Amino acid sequence: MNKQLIVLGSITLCSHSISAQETKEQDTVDQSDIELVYNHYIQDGNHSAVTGGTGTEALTVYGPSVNIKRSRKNNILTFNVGTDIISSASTDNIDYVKSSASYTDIHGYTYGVLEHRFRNGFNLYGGMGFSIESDYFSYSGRLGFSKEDVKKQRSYFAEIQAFNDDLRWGRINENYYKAVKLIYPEELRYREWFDGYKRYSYNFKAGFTQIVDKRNVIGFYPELIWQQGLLSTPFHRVYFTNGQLMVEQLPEQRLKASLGLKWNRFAGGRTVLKQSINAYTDNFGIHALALEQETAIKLNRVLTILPNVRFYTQSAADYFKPYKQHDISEQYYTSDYDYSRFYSYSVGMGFRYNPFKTLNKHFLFRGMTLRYNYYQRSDGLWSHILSASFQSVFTRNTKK
Amino acid sequence: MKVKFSFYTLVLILLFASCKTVKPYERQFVNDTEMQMGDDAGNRFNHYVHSIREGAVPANGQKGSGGCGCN
Repeated sequence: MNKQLIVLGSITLCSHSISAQETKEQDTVDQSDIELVYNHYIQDGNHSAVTGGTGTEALTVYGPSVNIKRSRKNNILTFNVGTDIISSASTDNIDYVKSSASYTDIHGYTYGVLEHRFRNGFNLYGGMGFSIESDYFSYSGRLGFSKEDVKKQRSYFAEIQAFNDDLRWGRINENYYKAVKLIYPEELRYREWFDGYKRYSYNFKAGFTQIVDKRNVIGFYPELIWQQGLLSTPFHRVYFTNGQLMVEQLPEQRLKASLGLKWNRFAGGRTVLKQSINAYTDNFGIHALALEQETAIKLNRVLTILPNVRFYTQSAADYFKPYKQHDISEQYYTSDYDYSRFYSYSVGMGFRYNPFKTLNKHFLFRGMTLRYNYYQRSDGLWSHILSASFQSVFTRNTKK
Repeated sequence: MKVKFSFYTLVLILLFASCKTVKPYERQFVNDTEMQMGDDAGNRFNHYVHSIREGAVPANGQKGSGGCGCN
């Protein structure tokens, strides 16, 4: 009797277990990670390239955006859409006709990436994006892969991106709503300064991360960028020593190379030290080095503060000279101080609040991050950089 | 040049040779959110600003083209 009961019980238990497994396999969890972001940028300086390396660089940017990451089985769809509302006093000086406050423009952008996860830790992804502004339209594509080794000790990725940019103005202008022409400074519109209006860029980047021990992780990030076409900005003025005025002229090809090294260390029980070094060089003659350090201090289970500091230095491009310093015999010339020799520093603080609060069985408030940074360049340009992001997760069970 | 290259290669080999296998139950630190190499939205925006206001595009940066709203 006892034997019969044991056999019967075992069969019942097995069949119940199998049936539960089958039911489980038929359930699929759809997860959507949603991140709302607001960026705010305020800048001023006195070396605007629009006015030939002198004059106001006042600029304010209001930038809301949304990031959505939708996961189902082995597929992940990432979608981003955002806009920058730009109020720029320097761009107002293209035609010297002052608007009520200053020139306002809109920069809209979106991209989508689809990723497929294979069983052996290999992921393949590809995507495309668009970006539009009154003097710009760009579409881009990307293709890449990432791989993690079996022991999950190291991972690497490689990605190629291609951008196709059209620098004609007029797409967001209410009188046209189409690409019309390159926009030059008002007094230089008596001739066409450039033959083409397209810019092509190809980025190849790769990454390699390695767990060194229980508390240390390092990463290497090389990147190559090749650009071709109209690399000058058509509404940048250049004043020469003899008093002549022209539109900025830069070579039509540019090769950039950079290498980044990151090192994250968990020190003690609550502190993470994050260091990075980036070295850069290009064929315009710019060589640069950036050092960055951020410390994440976990005050308690949900709150982390993120003090950070960054130092950057670069040499000048071969084609840069300040206002009225260029000689008329030069082939290429710019007075854009982004190409000048300078150093900069940035100091800031971030706050991360991660309560992982479940509001109902489908909705999780993951947390929020606030960041503020002050940026100062040795040529006098300064900026305030603010960012707020809110992360939440929606889950849904669906039957197959 | 060859000496420099050999030196850096040797440093890299020694660095990776010194890496230890960290078992799954020893990963409470390396799996921490703050230990991940990726950037949050605020970091990405800071790097985006740097890539516009500086001549150099940071390695592993967001993009080298595509419009910026930055004049």
